[in-house]
Amino acid sequence: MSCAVSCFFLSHFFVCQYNRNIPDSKKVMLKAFLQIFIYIIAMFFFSCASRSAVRFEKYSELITTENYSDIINSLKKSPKLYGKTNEFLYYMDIGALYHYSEIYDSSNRYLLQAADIYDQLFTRSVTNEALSILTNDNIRPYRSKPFELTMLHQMIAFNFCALQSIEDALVETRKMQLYFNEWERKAGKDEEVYANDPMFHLVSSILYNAKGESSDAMISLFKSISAFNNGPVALPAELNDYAWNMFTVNNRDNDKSLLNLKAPLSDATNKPFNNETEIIVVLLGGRGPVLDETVWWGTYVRDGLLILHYRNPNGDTATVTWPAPPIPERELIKAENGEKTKSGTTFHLKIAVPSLKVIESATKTFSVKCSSHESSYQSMIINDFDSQMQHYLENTKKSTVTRTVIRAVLRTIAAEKAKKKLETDSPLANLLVNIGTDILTDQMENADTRNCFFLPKTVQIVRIPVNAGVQQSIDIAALDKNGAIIKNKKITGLTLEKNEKRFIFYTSLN
Amino acid sequence: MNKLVVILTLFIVMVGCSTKVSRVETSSTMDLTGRWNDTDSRLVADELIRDCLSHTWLTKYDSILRKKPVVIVGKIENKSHEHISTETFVKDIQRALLNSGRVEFVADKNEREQIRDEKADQASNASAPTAKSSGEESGADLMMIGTINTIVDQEGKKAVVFYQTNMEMVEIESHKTVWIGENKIKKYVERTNTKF
Repeated sequence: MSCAVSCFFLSHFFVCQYNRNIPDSKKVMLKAFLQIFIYIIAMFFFSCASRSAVRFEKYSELITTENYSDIINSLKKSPKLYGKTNEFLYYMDIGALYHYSEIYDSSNRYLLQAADIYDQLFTRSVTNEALSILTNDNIRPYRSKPFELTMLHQMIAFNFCALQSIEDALVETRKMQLYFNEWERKAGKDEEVYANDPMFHLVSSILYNAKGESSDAMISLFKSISAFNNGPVALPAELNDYAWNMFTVNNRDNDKSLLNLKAPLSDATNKPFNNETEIIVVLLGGRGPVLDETVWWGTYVRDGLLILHYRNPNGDTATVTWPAPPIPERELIKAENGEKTKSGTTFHLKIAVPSLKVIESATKTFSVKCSSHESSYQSMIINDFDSQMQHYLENTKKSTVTRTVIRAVLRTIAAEKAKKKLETDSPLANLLVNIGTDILTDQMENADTRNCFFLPKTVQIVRIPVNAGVQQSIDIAALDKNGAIIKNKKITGLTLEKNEKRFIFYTSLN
Repeated sequence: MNKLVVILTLFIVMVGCSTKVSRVETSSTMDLTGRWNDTDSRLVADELIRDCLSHTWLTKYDSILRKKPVVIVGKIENKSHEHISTETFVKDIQRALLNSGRVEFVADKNEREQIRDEKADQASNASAPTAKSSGEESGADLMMIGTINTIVDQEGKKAVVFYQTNMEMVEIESHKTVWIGENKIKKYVERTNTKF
């Protein structure tokens, strides 16, 4: 930034020195004002883009300590790290952290606020959208990716389950179904677009079952399996078997063939049934995805050189430099005669698109041992946010690249026009003015890398049928890829009523 | 002149942006978001109770038993897509019933727990003449239960939201349903796609 400012003031000096028509004092003041104004604008756009990076740098390591209350307090003291445009993220992040801290009512207070903000953002500002075409997408209010919105409502439902209010959890199911309907309508025949979530429908199925509404439970189970079949999360084998048995019990054999379910390999002795008394352990494991940029940028200096750069989220960089031919004689003659010359002027282009950055985590799976059962239960993955993010980026690649290219071209045209206006008879002055302009337009181009990086990598589930009225205890262990225990927790004193479904939540983000 | 215009504009913007508060009548209708609000709760409660009290089930208590029926409000289940404060709705129902003077109320399940705790405390700590004895609770004759459902038809910025509230009065002894009431509200909600 200081470089850009220096360039501008230096260019102003050279313009005054070499330009035969020295501007009067008012024009000089106007030019200085314009330069400072442009500098402030560029700082604003740069700061919009860098907030995501600052948040990630500050909290990425802290999250592994699992000291969520410290992080919450820190976030509450620094709302400027989000700003007005990222209000949704602010509330969602704090809500998620409260959920991990098992403070479910506070979690819902923030998550419901985030849901309200999302509703309010339905109306788009024309000026804001137009400005983002010229600058970058980070100035648009953050509206979440569809799977993030689903996880928002899912966490609200989880919180209500933890607070023993299945009815309120089902309100979230119905609310989310309206969004799914609207996304399906917009997607039309395109099956690649995210318009249903396997995890959400599976949990909804459990909730409907808890209320004794077996028809709705089967419909939700059908939607869940269908969403698993469409990807990107693979259908777990245990869930295939469970669905097969439940459709059989509920006389829905046609659904089994529609969903291409495979008959269970073994004939289980304890088949599931409607309204079963269960302990349901919901496990959040590993660090969720983060977005970074893949950037291509290059500068061509007329009669100088061509520099091309590339950088991806893994930190791989490449730079290629080619020298341009020496200053042609005609340009030298022009400079000697005090005529304007193109020599020293630059042409700059930068394109940045968001890319997935996977954070490696130790936690892979979980095991749960119940006091009334001999063997442990292994968790099954019902959502994978790395896959969801990758799927989202692939689906939106075309529109993102189109938008980015249009923006880059418009900005380049505007920058070229500005440079043309400031052309002088000095190649050095031209170079300084042009570099200054290029740096400022360069700073404006930043990919929208905002996302809720506090989300887990996977959501996993264990369902344990138990006898009502018998006190139970459960041992939960988070396991690494070799099956070694990373951390564990024992929960005692669980006595369920008949047909009750008791939800337990456990988080291991390491 | 230009300076004056700039100063005036800034002043107007600053004044325009300050928070405004004005008190309104509690009975006034104000729909801001299209969601279930206090007006809906009040109107539905009043309408349902008017319907309830005009039906023949009261005759048994008025003419035959010659006593006011004792009612307890049970669960009002929210089967909608919005978080509706059913407690507010239940209080509106109770208020409407009680104010009619034709029924009596007993405490609901949660309230009874609190009262029983208080009685147990009085039995240990209060003086004999003032302590309230156990086993003297009034049993309810009827229980009022209900559901709130919604059907939403939505496309883009437009939505039609249909609220249906169903209430039943059930005799506790015989489990007979003596009254079923229904109230419907339909709202058309249109949001703006864009703003300046």
